Amino acid sequence: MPRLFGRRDFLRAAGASFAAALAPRPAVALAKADAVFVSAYKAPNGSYGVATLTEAGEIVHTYRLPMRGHDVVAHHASGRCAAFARRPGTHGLAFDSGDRARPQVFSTPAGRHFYGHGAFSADGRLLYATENDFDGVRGVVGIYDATDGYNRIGELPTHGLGPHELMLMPDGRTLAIANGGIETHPDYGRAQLNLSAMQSSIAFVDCETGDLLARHDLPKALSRLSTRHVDVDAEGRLWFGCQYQGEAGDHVPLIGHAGIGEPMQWLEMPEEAGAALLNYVGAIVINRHSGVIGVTSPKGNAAIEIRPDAPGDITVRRIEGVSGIAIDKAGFVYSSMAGSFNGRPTPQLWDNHIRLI
Amino acid sequence: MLPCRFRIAALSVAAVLILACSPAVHAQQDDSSPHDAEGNVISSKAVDPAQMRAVMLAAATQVIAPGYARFHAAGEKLVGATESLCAAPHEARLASARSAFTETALAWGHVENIRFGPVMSDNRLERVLFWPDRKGIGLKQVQGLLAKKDETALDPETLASKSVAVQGLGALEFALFGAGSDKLARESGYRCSFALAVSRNLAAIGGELARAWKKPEVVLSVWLSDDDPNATTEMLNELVGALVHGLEATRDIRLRGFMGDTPEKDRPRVALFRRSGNTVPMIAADIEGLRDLFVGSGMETLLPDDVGSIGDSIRFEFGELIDVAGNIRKPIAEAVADPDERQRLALLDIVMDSLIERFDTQYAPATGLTSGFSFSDGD
Repeated sequence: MPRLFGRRDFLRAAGASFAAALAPRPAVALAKADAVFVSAYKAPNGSYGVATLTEAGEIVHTYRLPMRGHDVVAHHASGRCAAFARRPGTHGLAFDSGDRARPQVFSTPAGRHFYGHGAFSADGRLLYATENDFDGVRGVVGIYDATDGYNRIGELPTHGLGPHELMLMPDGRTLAIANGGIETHPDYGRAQLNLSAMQSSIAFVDCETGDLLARHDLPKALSRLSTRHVDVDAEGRLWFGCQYQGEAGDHVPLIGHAGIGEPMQWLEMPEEAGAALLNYVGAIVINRHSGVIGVTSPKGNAAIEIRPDAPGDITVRRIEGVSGIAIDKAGFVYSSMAGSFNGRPTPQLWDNHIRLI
Repeated sequence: MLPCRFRIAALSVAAVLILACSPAVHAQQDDSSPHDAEGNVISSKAVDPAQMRAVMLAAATQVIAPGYARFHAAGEKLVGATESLCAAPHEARLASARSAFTETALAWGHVENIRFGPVMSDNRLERVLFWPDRKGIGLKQVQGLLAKKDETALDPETLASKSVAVQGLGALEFALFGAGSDKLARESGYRCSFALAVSRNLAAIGGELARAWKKPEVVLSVWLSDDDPNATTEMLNELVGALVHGLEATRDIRLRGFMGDTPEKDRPRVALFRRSGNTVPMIAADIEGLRDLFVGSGMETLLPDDVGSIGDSIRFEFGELIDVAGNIRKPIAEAVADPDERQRLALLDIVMDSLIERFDTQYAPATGLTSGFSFSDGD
């Protein structure tokens, strides 16, 4: 049961030199803060970056990104962080949460691009990233060596097409991957090349051998539903959120769970939930203390909080452009692509995901 | 073109990546947008819901419904022309069938960037035109059907359950214009029957779309109800999305599909509708359809008064694109080989870029859409 990674842990991990080296105002911000988050953003001048920030949305540190970022992942013990370009970008930026190491750009090899998500290995030495082998028309997990300049040292199959978010399961050995099922190719812009033959899935893959441990294909009746985002609950069950590529207004399930030896099951939500989300889950996070699942939809300008044991009773929050979501003591912290963080307006427009570091 | 752009991007990345920490920036209160009690931005330069509904209904009744009706009518005419050809093969009847194909294809071009409503169900979009077909699956499948004389492809019922790539305009173009099609003027047979089956399939899909859009209030009901707080933004997203994604698709898939960075990299043999000479006319049809959507819906009226000139610029660039496309007259293989014609094609690329940028960075923000308004990337 991981607990909230708080300010003291952050200061301890980052070392006193980090706080001492900060300019006065951010240091004040950090001293008052309860937790530290990281997220990619677009600045008012149009440039892109990644920031560590407090619960109040006060910036602690920023790094320029050469591209629009998407997800940022962190390895708590080592302080390693990595931001990924969204599709079809080919760059990532690795940095230290306490700014103790020079940030480092890493890139996909020819014939691959990132999808915007990844995860560190349990020991923090390896970084896994979802990638597109676009000529081979298959998803792969690129493996980067964090101890050797983020050299790409290999890849694993995702056992599907169009992977999006992946995460390392609590066993430290299994990668859970949302294979969104949509074929794209950088030569064809954002065109979705196989909507009439989509097949998305959740795959569990051994991160050492690449073996497929289990795969749950979506049923044919839901062929236009694309699995996108994942998180794991306190019992170790994998939950996933989907995006629908069919006609607006259709009533389809969006949230489900699955395991290696456990079939895929859908969470039955009231119809108003799908309507508020516009059948689009931009991020999913589970508060492992309370068991509440939070999902966001920047498309629907809404976030939904739902308990798996009482799915009929949902809380809908209306926040323009909401997408980033992370847990905090009180429940969830939300950020918005329209420029707000945890309820406060910010000059930065926050990209889709927030992480606790 | 893209690979080269990626290389350029890689170089500039190296230059930008100094990556020294920029000074920390404090969050500032920005009171230009309304916020709720918790401080969340609840709306920006919000478009008036009633005005948005009027624009969407105008798009439906002035542009979309008539567009599908034209596609349906062209499809019915195509069925008639192909029936006549199959019943009594003749040079003139083959010419009529071919010209009916062109009319149908271009009618589709005018509406193919509409990506909401019944076209999103039952794979209708892909069944009318499966493109891009990176691996040439459609051509191989059609050639296979023609070689095997597969009877099940002649019944619209069973044809509709086959691969989307053998049911629509791509398959029909090969049947009517591809290698061996001249024989259609002399003998009826499997190939003509297949062309007829595909024509009927197209007319049937056209009928379904045209009928559904005769009741736009039903098609749009999900957005026209009063109780959906997202409806206004959603409708605006769909219309701006149709324009931006339509222009992007026309540029990336149609134009850059065959045009490389340099003439040596041109691949006119993979251009859509090269056999019927409709490559550029189809690009023009797409652009005209998007222009009609912009003008016919009255989307300009959603712009605040002080930035009304954005609408003028958009109309001007649409006009420029249509003029340039209209002046590219050679078949595509000759056009890319002719420096003047190729320059006009390159100009289409540049102006489409500019127009996309204008929608993305001017129209969308001016009407209150957030910078990440485009969700088709599935982030």
